Amino acid sequence: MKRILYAAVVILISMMAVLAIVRVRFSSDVFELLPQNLPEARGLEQINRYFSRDAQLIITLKGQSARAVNEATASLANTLSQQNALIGDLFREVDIDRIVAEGGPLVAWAWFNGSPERLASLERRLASPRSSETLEESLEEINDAFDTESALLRSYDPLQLARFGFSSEGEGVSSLDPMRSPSGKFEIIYVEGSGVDFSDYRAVRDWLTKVRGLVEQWLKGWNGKGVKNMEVEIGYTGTPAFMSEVGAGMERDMTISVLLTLVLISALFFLVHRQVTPLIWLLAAMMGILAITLTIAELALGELSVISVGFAAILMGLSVDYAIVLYREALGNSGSPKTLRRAVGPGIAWAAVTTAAVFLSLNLSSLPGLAELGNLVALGILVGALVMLFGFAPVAVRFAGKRSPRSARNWVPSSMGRRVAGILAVLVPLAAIGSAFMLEKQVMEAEFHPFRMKESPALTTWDEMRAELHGESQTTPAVITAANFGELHTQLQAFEQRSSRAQEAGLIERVILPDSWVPHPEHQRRNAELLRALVREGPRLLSEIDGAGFTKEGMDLTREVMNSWTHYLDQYDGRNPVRPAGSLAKWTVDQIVTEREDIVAAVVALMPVNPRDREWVTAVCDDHSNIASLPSLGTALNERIAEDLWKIFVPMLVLLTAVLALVYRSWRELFLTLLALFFGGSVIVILTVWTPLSWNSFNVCGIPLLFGIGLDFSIHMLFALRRSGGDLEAVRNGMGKAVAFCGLSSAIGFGSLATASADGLSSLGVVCAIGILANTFVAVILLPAWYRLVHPVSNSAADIGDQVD
Amino acid sequence: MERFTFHLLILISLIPGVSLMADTNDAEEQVVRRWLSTNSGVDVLKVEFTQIRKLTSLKSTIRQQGVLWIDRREGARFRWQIGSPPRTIVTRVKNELLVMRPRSLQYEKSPATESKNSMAILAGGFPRAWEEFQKKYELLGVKILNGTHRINVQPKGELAHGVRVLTFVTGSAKGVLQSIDLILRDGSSQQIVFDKVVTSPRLSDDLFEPDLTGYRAVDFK
Repeated sequence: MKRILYAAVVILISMMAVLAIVRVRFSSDVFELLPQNLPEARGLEQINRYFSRDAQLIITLKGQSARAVNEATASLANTLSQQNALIGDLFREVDIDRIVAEGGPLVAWAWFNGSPERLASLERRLASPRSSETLEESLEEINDAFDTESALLRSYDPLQLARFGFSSEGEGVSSLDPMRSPSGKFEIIYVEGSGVDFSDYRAVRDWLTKVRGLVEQWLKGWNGKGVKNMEVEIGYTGTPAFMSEVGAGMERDMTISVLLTLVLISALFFLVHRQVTPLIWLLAAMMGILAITLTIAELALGELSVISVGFAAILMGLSVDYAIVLYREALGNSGSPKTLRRAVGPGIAWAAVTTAAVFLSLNLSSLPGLAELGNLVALGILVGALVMLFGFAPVAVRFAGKRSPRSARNWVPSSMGRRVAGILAVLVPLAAIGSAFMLEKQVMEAEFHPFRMKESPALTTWDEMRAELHGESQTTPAVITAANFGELHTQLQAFEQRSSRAQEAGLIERVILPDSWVPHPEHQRRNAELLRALVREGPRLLSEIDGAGFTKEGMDLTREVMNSWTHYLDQYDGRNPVRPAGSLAKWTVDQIVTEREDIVAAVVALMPVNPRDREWVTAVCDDHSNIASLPSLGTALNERIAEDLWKIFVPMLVLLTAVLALVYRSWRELFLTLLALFFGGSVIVILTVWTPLSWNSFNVCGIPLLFGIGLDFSIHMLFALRRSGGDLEAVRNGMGKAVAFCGLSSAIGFGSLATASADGLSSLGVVCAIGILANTFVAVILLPAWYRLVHPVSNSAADIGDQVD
Repeated sequence: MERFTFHLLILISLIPGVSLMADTNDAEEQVVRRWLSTNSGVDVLKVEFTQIRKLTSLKSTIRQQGVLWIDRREGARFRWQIGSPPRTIVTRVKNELLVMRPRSLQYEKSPATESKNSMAILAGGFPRAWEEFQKKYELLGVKILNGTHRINVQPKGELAHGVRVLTFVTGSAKGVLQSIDLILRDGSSQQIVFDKVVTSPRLSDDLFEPDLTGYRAVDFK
């Protein structure tokens, strides 16, 4: 009966953990994990918040010829446009037909919003009899044009309404956002999704699966025709593709890292202790810790990020240590759970508090994502200590007594010979110093982005799209924000002045300002009256166009512009600026300027001379102007993290040295602890130089963790050596086993993150796993030998009396 | 016209490229190669043409006379002019494209590499080898109509954007180019009919580098 009850408890706890994992919500927004006091991070976050559309999928088409891609794009767009339940709207490269059919509202709005002087010149051009001269001029140009395309464009716009006379180079929308490569062999379609909540990545994933199914079916038919050179390849990118990928990646990361950690720790426990029942209880306890921590985390944070998702594996690897300490103590001393708690409880409590403190120190990092990870692990560690002390202690007492003597195996290797250990203590640090001088690669990866996914088809497609559409003239977006449109124009002017100075200083090659596309309250107010007069002239102008020899098609654009002016004037209340109407116009302007959450924002395009440099960023940015530049963000993160390390690590080292001196009251132990830490660091330095292991702005934050764990291990070993009077064999079988198990389990926890989707988390896992293994090796194999070197005779009775565990 | 054909026949018989025609069995490719061979060895050319534009947005057809000079000896020089006296003159020397409007005394200079319109077909000269043809065009098919071969192609790269079909019309008998037809995406069309072709005419440098005294630089776009 008891067995059934126990089994039910284990199953219940496991189910709670599974439920907690399934229920957890993941946030696919990575921009909030960046330090918001960097203009690059703010710029990326603002681009994402104001300009990326949750529902906007980008489908790319690539083929062997422009004709193949053009026809395939038209066919695919036609197929998708029939899916009204899934797709709200579609946009592709604007061609002459669409400009004529839908360009009227955009052209009309550009005049309404443009400078009054410009509109006045148009009014003069369209006044009788100048309008007839304008038409004659157009006919001449159509007759005499060298190329047919110019003649064609002019023939659809006989009054030259589409000639705005932009103030800024390249201000035309098409130059900012082309949708077809210059060769024509690459084209994109913007697909505006509908029918689901696009802020929920699970709903987005289902929606994307359906759209992909439709596209794949179309592709099969298109490529299956067997027409030579007409095959195309399809790619997906844009917010839904990224959301779906990041969300799925986080679910996978959480599942794989937790399962991998559980399996490996179970294997380790079984190899060491050869008992199954306590192992099952241990797993149940770990799952319970996970369930409780996840529930608290969900209440506190709401959602887990691509980085904090890694906390579970680290927590598993660390919390198992408390169970091992309890179990080892129960093996040596029979008694009640209460006795057991009294014996090792204080040690576990202090260890949990100090480890939690080390992880909480990640809050001093500039990366909010890393701080969130640290907080979750710290919370989990404290929960873990409580669960193990009150949940696992009775199990440890119950099953430790049943352990067969055969199962007590000496699996920890003996410490190294004193002579060899002494030589290594000198050689390895020297080799590390020598290697550091030979380091050819940069200490920190220059363009590392911690939240970038390791394998991301959406990102690959995005990069390909940028290269195909923009080539070498890729621009960097800047976001200018203000409280209203009037202030936005002021901010744009200030930005223009700063960027002009940056251009003169040789920091920026080019800047494209969107002034004409930002609603201008003052311009619209002054233009309204003149436009009314122009609208009244509409019938006369259309009649003149007809008389000049243009067909109905030749008059369509002019008629549409006149109608749109009437519409805008009807909408205009004299105070609030009117935004463009019509899907093409709205979509076009929404790409450049937006109005959300009492903030208006506009995008400016910049071309920096050296994108990785930060001088141009500081030259053009202020509180209202931020840059969405990944290259300079990489540099900024490296600079910021390097500052963090010096700010945190050096004071921490000095403080700990002072505390250790007080605790040990012996220069020898202090020296040995510092030597152990230095030796562990040297191993990492050598591996950095001679292996592909590298440092970046994220995994470098693992240094304090490694420092804390290395310190912990050496303190435990040195006090054990003191207590035993330098009896290496006794320490190896006692504390040596505990530290070795803890080191291996922690390395498993961190190492399982190597499979994580995010580059930063994965590299943090690898570096910490390697560092912990190095610390474990030093503590268990080298430190006892070094202890004997500096203590040639047995310790005094006073030393033996110090009991710290 | 007959004199031009005669000249071409002599040239064709002298150049090795003709033998290539025997290497392929593809009838369409042979027609193209035959036309290309008529261009081989022709470095200097003067073409008098009639340009006919039928635009969807205009009620009437536009018909204009023009002259084209191509000199491939010195970096593909080119001059195109329309009207008599010339209303528009376009020249290309090295990598610079010059557009002049004599009536309004205006001109515009731009890099020739940025020329993305259909007339860049003329500015770059006609292809002379199958590889060059394939690089510039995708062959859609060849049709025979009233004693001519209509070589339908789709220009590659930026030239393709507004063009639905580009047709080189060659004489069935000798493969000599007679006209270029262009159908645009909106259904508008343009035809350039070659009225008279003179090979190796005497050309002066002034022809390609006209005097801009009194002209004003503008942006025609």
